Amino acid sequence: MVTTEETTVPTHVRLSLAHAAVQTLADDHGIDLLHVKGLALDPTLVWEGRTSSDVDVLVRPAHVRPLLQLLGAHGWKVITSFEAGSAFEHSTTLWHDQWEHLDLHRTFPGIDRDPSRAFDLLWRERGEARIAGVACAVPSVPAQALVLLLHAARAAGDARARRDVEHVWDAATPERRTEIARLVEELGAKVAFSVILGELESHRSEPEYALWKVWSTGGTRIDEWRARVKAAPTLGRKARVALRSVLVNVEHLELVRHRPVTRTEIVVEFFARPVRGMREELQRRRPDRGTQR
Amino acid sequence: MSPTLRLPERIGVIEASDDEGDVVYAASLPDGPIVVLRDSALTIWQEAVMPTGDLGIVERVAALYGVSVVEVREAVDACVADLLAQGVLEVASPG
Repeated sequence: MVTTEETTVPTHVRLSLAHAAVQTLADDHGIDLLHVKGLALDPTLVWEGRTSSDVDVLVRPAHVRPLLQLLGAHGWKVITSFEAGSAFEHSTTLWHDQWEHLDLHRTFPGIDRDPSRAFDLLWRERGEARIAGVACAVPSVPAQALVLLLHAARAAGDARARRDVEHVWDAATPERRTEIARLVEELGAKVAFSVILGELESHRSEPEYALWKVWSTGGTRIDEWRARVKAAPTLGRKARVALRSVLVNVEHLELVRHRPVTRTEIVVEFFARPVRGMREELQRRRPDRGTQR
Repeated sequence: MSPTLRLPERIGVIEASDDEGDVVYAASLPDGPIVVLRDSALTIWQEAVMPTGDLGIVERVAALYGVSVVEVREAVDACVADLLAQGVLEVASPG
């Protein structure tokens, strides 16, 4: 029996084929990209029972625009832009009716080295993983481990992230730790990685300290916006971040409501958003509430 | 004479097995769709991409199931046409 029924396809199958589909496009058009996390992980970095829900690729920054055009021509739709994605503006999320979610990264939070040079370094040491029979480019195993750990560093209190750290760092051999530490130096990932080592406080003077503090321990929206302004490298960027803090993220609103939003809804959200932030701040300051979000 | 069939170069394939038995998920890349192959469709696809003899595909499938060529020809031809249309099989030579 031949079927093309979507409901009969398990998630890991769909994701594997999505990796293969994106790699095929990249191969056809000379796009450099590395498959990171999820099903592209080296088996030694995966603990039993770990599952994946999307496909992540890190793209050579100069190839991001052509790849986005290609993806668009092949049925992928952007559902969250770089600007709307996260404090780091590091990734955009796309959707395809066959392959589902793709997170396209142009950089990785925690890596402070210039994105093109960081990619060069990871690309130079790349390996290969066969996914659905297709040879996919992946970072070296220590680099895969570092990416996983940097991701865990900004997942405050997340049980899955904690298990990743236990498996990938706590249980790592001294040799593997040395390799990861070398990459931390070369990629400029000291502040973010200090979260994993429990040494973030020794980086209090760094501009990005506040942001990693919020990400790694939790905080209110206002905390996060303050940290984002502080971490922005130039006055212009600080002003841009501050301005965005009061604007409504229309893409996000449409994403959570699963439909286009009206002008009225945007206006309502414009007023509701600061109120939510204020409530969170007040909640945090209540004497009977010991811990932050 | 039947055309020679083969696995396309741009294809993703995952072999698995579940409660219903062996299954192959195949997709023409980079656009899909994902094709789920089970039972006789799986047998026909496997015979097409990894022939187990010199006979034509209809004859091989008939032999595997222990039935006559006449009985399976229509079904096999229809299945092959479907697999070709979905891009998980291609014609190597016109035969």
